[in-house]
Amino acid sequence: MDLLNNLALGIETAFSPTNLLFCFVGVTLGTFIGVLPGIGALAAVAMLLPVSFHLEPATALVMLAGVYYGAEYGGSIASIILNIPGTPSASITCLDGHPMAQQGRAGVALFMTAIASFCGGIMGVLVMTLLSPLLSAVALSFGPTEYFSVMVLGLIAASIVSQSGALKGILMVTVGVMLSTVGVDINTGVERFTGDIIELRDGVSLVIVAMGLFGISEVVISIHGNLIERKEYKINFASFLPKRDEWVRSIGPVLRGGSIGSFFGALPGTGQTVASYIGYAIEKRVSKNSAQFGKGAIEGVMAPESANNAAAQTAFIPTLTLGIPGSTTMALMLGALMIHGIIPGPKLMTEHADLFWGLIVSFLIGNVLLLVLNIPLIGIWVRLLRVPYYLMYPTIVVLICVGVYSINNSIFDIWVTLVFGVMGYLMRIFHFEPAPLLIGFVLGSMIEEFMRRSLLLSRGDFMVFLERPISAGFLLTAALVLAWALWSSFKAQDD
Amino acid sequence: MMSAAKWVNGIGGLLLLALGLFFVSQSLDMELGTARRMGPGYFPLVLGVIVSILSAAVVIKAFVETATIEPIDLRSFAAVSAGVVAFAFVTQYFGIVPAALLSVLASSLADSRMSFGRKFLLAVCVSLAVWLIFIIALQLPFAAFRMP
Repeated sequence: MDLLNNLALGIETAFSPTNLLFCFVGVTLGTFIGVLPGIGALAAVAMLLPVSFHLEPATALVMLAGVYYGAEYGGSIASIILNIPGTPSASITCLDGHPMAQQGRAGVALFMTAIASFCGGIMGVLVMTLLSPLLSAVALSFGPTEYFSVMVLGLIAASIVSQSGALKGILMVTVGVMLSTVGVDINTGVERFTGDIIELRDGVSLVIVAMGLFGISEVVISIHGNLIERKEYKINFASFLPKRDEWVRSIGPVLRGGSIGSFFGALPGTGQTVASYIGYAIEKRVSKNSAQFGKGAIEGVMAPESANNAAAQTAFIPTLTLGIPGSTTMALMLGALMIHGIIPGPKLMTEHADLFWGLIVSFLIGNVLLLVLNIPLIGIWVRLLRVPYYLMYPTIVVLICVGVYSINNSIFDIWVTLVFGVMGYLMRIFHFEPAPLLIGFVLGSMIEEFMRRSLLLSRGDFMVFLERPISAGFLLTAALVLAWALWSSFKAQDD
Repeated sequence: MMSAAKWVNGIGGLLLLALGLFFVSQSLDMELGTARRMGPGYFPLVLGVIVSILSAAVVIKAFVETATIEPIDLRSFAAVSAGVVAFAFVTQYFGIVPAALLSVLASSLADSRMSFGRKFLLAVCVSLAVWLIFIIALQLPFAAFRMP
């Protein structure tokens, strides 16, 4: 069996002492960061990117991935206790998780989210194990034309989910692609938009863009809300264990949430926030207990948490098999791979089989670690929420600066980060979302390269994108998605 | 009467329009080439045109639709920026440990509830931690202290 051989290879990689250690470090650090409101998984992964340069590629990915799904897990803790989501995708958990805490059942809610996250995560990993080889087999027949079109589809998908509307989303994606052209053009050796600044010849580093747009501007935004005196919360930890019928009632939501999450996570551009919202919405519709939703129903916690963590795993499918990031954090993962000289795409599974299967097995290990670590540690995470924010944000600012400086030992990089920080803050004031910009920025140079190659092969004929059936299919889907998004945003205006 | 919110949304679009036009004008100075053999300016020119058109649409849309204005927290913004500026300047001339110290002091200006003594204590702790973690433990090639 191919699959068994692959898994054996994965086990060998993932169980190496170094990778085990970094898996542990990653998930623990991730949970820690996820618990703290104000910085999310994205900023955490961005801050650790420079550190990962010094690791083996597999180890780096294992750690960064651990931070990512650990943070998704930890995000729900702040939702339940404080009614403030630690990560955006955990915001829906506030609806039923916080009422449970108010009823003195925070312990049960936290325990059950751990279970739901675990089950969802495992479902996501299973889907990834089965689906990735199929997808990558199909993608092996892709030429530059197909790649160009599937990336266009990915960018369109990334732009329409933005809450500021499809028009602004597409604008942001295009700005991201445009900024990726800064630096020396690899085909002609001509400097573009560098203003003769030597440091800009290699373009702007992804870490800098991410740290500025997300790190700096997120800190600025989170200061005001988090400095307000928090209400002292009293949580009764009388019991972690739910009632017997709550166990039974949880099975359906977990399975439904996990399936929904696996599906939406694997679509490029959607990601966990969409998955957890849809998971909640569907559960509310099908549940017999829907009248209790919003008042502390266990189903309303289990479904979105399961969906969220399933999506966190399946988001790796398009990222690793096609080289198309499903979400912003995945864009950073893609960046981490490329920095290590690994080109994500269908060949990754064969050329770097140890990395791919090692990562999958490390997901299993990481999810088990999260479960066994976190149930006894819930008390510690809750206490962590009492650390006042005025101690945290100056520390985060320094960590961002040190992280950026460590990439090249360059002061110039810190100034560029500041520029992107200011830009990120302005974008938020003007209601533009930075996430599509970052995805466009990551894919930009690849899109240009694939477009050039396609047109070189077709002797400059643009029809090639429509003449090749797979490519035409992607572009047609992109056009339909775009039309639907524009139509529904105009419709929303009329209401 | 034009509401302030409309202006705010309009300004965002105008800034991007300027960025798009800048890319267009710069691209036109480069060799464009043909679709078959693209020059360095071809792809950025296409993008610059798209960005300019879309941001013009955003500006127009901003003035016809109702908008909400985001509260601007100028103090936090200035304090955090000052923290980054302090880090960049001080690292260049005095090394990374004093830079962390001053950066914490600068960015903690966003908050007035903590006394200066406690802010200073936090700054000392953070810079000590930076020294221990990044220079002693991780051995990154930073100058901890430096004389100009």
